[in-house]
Amino acid sequence: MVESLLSVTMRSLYVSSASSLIAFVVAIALSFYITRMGKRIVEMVTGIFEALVGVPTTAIGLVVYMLLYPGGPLGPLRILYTPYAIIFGEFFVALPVAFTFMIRHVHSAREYVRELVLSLGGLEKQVTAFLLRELTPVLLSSYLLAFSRAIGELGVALIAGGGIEGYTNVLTTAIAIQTSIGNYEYAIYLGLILILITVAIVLSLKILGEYIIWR
Amino acid sequence: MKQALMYSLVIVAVIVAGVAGFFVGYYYGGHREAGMQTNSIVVSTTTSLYQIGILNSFFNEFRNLTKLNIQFNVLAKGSGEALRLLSDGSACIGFTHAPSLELQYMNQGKIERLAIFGYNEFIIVGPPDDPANVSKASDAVDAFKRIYEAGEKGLAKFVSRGDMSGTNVRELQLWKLLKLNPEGRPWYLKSGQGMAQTLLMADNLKAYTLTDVGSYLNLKSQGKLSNLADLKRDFKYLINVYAIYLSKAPSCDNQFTWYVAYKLRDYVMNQGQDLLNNKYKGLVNPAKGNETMVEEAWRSLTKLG
Repeated sequence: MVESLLSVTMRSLYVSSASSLIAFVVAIALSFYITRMGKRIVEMVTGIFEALVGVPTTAIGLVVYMLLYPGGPLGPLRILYTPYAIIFGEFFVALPVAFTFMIRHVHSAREYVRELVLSLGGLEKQVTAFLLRELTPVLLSSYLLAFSRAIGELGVALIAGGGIEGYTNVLTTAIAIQTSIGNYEYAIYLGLILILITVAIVLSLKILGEYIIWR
Repeated sequence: MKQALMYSLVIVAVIVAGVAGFFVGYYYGGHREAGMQTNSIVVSTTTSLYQIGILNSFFNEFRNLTKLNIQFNVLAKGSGEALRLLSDGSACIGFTHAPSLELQYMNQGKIERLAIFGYNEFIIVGPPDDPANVSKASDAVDAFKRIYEAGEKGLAKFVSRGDMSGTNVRELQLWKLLKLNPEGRPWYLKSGQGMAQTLLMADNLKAYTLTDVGSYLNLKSQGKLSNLADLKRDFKYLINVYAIYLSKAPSCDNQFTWYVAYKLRDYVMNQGQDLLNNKYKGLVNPAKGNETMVEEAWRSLTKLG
């Protein structure tokens, strides 16, 4: 009477890719915007986000629950215990990771790309396009990092998603719940899938990393 | 050239994987979306009913009988958390077994009792060689006293749920009756986990623990418990009563929820009782035929600590 491994895995991929994609887009916009504002501000914002990377996901999950439960400020949205609640929460888990990884590179690359573009007779508004092209491997790495953090976190998925079978059960919650009711065999299969996914991500990161160095 | 090819291949692969994962996942994970918003109800439950599989049987039969197409979203938590979710209105219907907590929430006007639908008993389980001589105890309170003494001598360990679940609440009531406080003693371990996990932990540590008989027999029959024996039963102190509650929070205050809740109560108190009798006898017994007994038990349990 448990869900098939496939559907849990698929839901996990869907929820974490959705949240990390959104976080990724926000992180790009934010880092490109911030780096135009000067060194001080970059340092400050980066500091804040670096601190946020260390916040335990269970704490984020609890905050998300307090926001989304029927008596909370976002209660009227009625998305507690739905996949959207997990996407919402994991966005806050993934964003700091993606942002901090990105900002250093964007900050250091912006200056010389700008000089290069302008000295070759380009326009100020072309800088961003060139910067994007230059930094593609970095951006992809940060997306993958955000994704692996989102798919591997338990706090938000359990507290805001509830691990409802057939609806909000993702890999990590399924492992936690099946373990707590003594169904170890099933939990081990899920764990293996999760490990495979993260290993695949690390490998892609390695390949991408070579290109970052090659740059 | 080669590098550029490799480069573009990796980028394309990542993008394709991301997008494909998203869409395939959306299809698999979101295919129930359409019906979700209109006719689903969040149910919080104690882990034991979920683990034994009673809840799923209930809901399947309920859907078959009433022909209502309702999705029950089940949150398996301890009774303490399940009741908290009810009072928040995060869940609308709850299956719990912690009378003293239930009464507190009822007195605050947060929840309403629909029915007491079943009972079984808690049992004290521990290593078969029984270093604390629990099996010779006169009753449950005496058994706990023996565990405490053996623990102080370093002969026994006790694993507590430590999560304010129904089982944990009962255990704390027994310590209170003894006027002993095991909190922080080296032999008193808190798992903070569900019943199955706690039983497995006690099994690995050769320790004593308090469990509902259903969870214990369920795991025992799967061959997962090798170092635990059923040492002490005591119907007076250890009867375990399961009840259904309806949240009174504004978010559950609608026609649909009420309709489903009362329909569900009617089902559980009629055909559901036969289901328990035929399929789960010994794990959870139907309240039918013993209504006054379970009601009395519930009332006395609220006064226990």
